[in-house]
Amino acid sequence: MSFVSSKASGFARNFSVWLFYAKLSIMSWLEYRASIAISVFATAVFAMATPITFYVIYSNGVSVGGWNFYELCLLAGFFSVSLGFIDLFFWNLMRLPAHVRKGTLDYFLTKPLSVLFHVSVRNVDETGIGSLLSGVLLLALGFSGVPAPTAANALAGLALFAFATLSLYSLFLILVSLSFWFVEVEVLLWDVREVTRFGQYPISIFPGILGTFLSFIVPVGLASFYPASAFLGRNLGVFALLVPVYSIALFLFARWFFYKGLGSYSSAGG
Amino acid sequence: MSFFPLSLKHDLEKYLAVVAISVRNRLEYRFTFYASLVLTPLVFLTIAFLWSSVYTTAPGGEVGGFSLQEMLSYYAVAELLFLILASEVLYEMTDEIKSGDISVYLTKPMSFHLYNFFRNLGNALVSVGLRAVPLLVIFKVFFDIFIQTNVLVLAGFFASVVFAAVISFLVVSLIACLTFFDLQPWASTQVFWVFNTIFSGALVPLSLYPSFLRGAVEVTPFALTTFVPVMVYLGKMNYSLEVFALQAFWVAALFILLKLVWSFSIRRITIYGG
Repeated sequence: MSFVSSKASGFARNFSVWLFYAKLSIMSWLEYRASIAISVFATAVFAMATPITFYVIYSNGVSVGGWNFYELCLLAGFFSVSLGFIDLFFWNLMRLPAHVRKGTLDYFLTKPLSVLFHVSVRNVDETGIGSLLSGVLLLALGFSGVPAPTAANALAGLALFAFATLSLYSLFLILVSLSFWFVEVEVLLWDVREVTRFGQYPISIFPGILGTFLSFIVPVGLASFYPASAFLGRNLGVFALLVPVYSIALFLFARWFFYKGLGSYSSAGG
Repeated sequence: MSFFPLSLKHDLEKYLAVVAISVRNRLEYRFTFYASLVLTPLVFLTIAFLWSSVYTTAPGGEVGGFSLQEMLSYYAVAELLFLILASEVLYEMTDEIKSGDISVYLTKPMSFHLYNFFRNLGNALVSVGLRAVPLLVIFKVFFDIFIQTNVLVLAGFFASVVFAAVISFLVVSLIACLTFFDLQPWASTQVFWVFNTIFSGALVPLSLYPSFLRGAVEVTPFALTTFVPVMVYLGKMNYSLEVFALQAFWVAALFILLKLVWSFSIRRITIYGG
């Protein structure tokens, strides 16, 4: 479908479209003020669930995988910020299965914008705010209890964090793209989101195979473990290189997979 | 309108039909079933690794009076117990209140709450029938969870499970009423999950909480839906008269509260069209 190609459209145009959608979203939040407030509070609590567990564990005089409580707050914080960022800006992606099922994806195909861009950013969703807030709080708590990172470590941490977020986005993109071929994808999506909660655990507590699985098959460990380790000045070895390469490869694959699925999209009814 | 109408035989047939429909509906979602058989053990595996790691640092191999096996058994039993709790029917109730489909129950000789109670029973039967045994086998074979064989303890556990099911249903019904007061269904359900996360003991055994919180969290109705039955199963809590009294108190209190809130809420409802 050549007419949806975005090659010619510039960043400025995409940004102005996004700004418009963001405004619309925020106006729709104001319609349900009480519900939105509760939802933000609830997602903030959910993001805190694992740190609360850690707090209870440490208050009983035991520890997790050689990390202290503040370091674990950093882990949980990076993960929550990553997930919160994706939920805030790309929540519409989670609705792709519904769009495919109902045929409402047509709307995105008939506009002169990149379909993937358009489907991803159509909503700014309050679901992400709670995770973001909790994440920032956890990062503040974590950084208050560890030595300040060197500039180089901080830079490496931020870069790894960006790549990790990209890989988490790519994972969700692959999952929702399955909806072009299968019906009940949402169940899988929500279950995987449930599994992503374990991104708040230090990967080092898992034996090799499961650790690898959580890093590179369901890349939830990426989003927290490597950025936090970099900030703490731990030696990442080959992973410092592997994480960026893997994230970019996963994104390219996810993008290809999405458009491959879109090719077999046939709308509904009519 | 009568809240819980009871003209027995006729009603029983009616609500048994609800159970049957709910069972059939639920059996359609096979993918969900298979996915849960893979994902529940996977999630459990991560919990097992977390605690195994924690126990390597535990003096005397105990954390808060739990051995590692008891800790894993705690999570396994909590997971199985969750299959019968009323969390899913909450989504259906809030949707019916919001969409106005609730009018069906107001114009027919059918109680909204009894209907949903039996609908949940149908869901629970399918969940237990299909998932409980495979999960139990997986938990036993791979994680060596504790199997309680003391008949008296088991009797106390089953009594607690019945209370857990009723209390969870009453709590869910109360929270669903928030939907009458301008809350969106998704917000009402999140209220439930927040309380459940912190107070039920599904996250971490409540007895491990810092002592200033413990006394308060252990007597909430949420604790009775998860923490208390599991502790009774593990033999770490006697099914004493006090426990029974607490369960009976919450059933009575929640029942009366629900009746009050419901009779107040139902007058607020305006259903368009039809």
